[in-house]
Amino acid sequence: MLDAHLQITQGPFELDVRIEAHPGSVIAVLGPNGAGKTTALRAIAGTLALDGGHLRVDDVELDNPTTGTWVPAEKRQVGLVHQDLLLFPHLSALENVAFGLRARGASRAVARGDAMRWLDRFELGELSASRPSTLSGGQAQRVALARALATEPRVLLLDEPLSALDPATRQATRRDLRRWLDGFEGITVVVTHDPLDALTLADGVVVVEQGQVAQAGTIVEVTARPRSRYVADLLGTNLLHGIATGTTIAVGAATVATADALDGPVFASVSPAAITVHRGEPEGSARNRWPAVIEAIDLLGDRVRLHTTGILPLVAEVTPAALAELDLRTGDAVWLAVKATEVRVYLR
Amino acid sequence: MLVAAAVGLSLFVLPLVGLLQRAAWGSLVDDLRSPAATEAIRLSLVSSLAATALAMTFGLPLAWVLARTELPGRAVVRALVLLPMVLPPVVGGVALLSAFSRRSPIGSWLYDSFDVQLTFSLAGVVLAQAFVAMPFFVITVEAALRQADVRYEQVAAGLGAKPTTVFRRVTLPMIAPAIAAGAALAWARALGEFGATITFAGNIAGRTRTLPLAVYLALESDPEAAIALSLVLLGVSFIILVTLRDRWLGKA
Repeated sequence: MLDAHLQITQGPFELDVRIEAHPGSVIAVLGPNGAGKTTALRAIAGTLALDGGHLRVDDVELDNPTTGTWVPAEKRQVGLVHQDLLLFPHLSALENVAFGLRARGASRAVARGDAMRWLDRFELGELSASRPSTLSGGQAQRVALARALATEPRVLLLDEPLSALDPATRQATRRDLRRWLDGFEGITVVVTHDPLDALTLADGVVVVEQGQVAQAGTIVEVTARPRSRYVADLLGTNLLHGIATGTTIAVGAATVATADALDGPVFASVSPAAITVHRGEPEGSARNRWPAVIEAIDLLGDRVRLHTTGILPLVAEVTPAALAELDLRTGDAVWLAVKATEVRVYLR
Repeated sequence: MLVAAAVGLSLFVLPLVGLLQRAAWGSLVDDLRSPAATEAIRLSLVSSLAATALAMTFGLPLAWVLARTELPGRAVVRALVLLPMVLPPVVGGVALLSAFSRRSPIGSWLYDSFDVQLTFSLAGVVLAQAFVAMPFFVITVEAALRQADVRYEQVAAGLGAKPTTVFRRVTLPMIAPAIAAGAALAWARALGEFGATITFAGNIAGRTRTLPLAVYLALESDPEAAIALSLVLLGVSFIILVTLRDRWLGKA
């Protein structure tokens, strides 16, 4: 169990964030650059001390300025994968992974044996003797992850794990990361500015804005009911799980047409703003049309979010003017339409 | 501009040409084999290597303190460390003499308690050389420590490494090139040390007469030998410069 209430003051900037997570879960800390995400990460890792609040992992207090508790980084069971990976340039991939095991007292032979098993697990066995400078971005990413996991941390911190990769590698790594994290029994905290990382990797999300928590909850809760315009723009999307066959995705009983052909299990996201709402069955170029019933109407700033039920429960966003013109009320039957090009698909 | 540059360059080149021109190449080997020359070369090697070792042993912690701590008065400490680089060596020798001669408190204590006399001894030569050479090691290593990315050390700590392990297995290997360069520079400076040595340790054949002292002495009695020994020093300096070319001359 991670129980963190992180209060840090750096000049005019004040961070005040609560992060709670259970073993086996993945929490995304999402926010724009400068929101204080990395500061929060450093406080958990132990390279920055709290000014207030507390940090507990499995009921062991690691940092608490009130009681004067401070456990240095090397005694915390917290693994950090930095955005720039920071593999030791003078050590081979194997020695990098073995480093933490050696530092924790394993003999050279045991550490190297364990490290080799980790490299094999990440399909890096053949590169064990390679120096980091000769590895590709994706390979280096995996070595860094293996190095952090090899010490069996209670908390694994990933700082923008995908931002240093090129777009093609990012796709593949995002999928692999999800698979590797599934097997990790500790708590994972992923810091990212990319909502997609949160949607595809995490179970829970803490949205941070200017040092404060804008909203926290499970991915399902936050995407369905963003509490502010800011969170709605960031995460208020329709996230669908389905099986793709070419340009069609089967989502439960519904089918969704997309522009990108993929095969296999996928995530699809549809922005609520891309969905149009009609009184009767619409005509036109939109290939996706579904009948639905309005279940709830939320006013959020200058937009209205319509929560609907039907064969494909979706959230649609309209302006207050459109709401008035169509005279939409809870319980009304409507048609929803969205163009295939507005459906973003990612391999799961 | 070009003319002035050429004049400037000739200032460096002409003495070299003169030295090479006047060298008695035929008897060079014999000159270097003379007992006086071999003795001076041996003394120089022993003392300069010992001075380099001394500079590394104490220069590394000093560089670390200057680069990584927020010690009050750090600027003053750095100025003190760098002082021997701009101080006339003979003044350094006088200063060492004042501090460590048998009549000084430290010198008399060393002599009475340990029977150690620094003046007019090989130990004095080593001390004088270390005094002038250590700043070169310290500034080179300090710069490398400043430039080194401390995040690697944080990663190492995060993986469970104690501070000493971090220093030994991460910091040191990452600044190894700078340590080598600093040691080479310090060694070259120690090898060429003259003023502080002759003032503090004297000019005693077989005990404190290092290469530069032997060159100075031979200039009166045996100019050929002086030039031969000078060529040895020139060669060593040149080799060190070439070895460090990437660092000091750029890769052009």
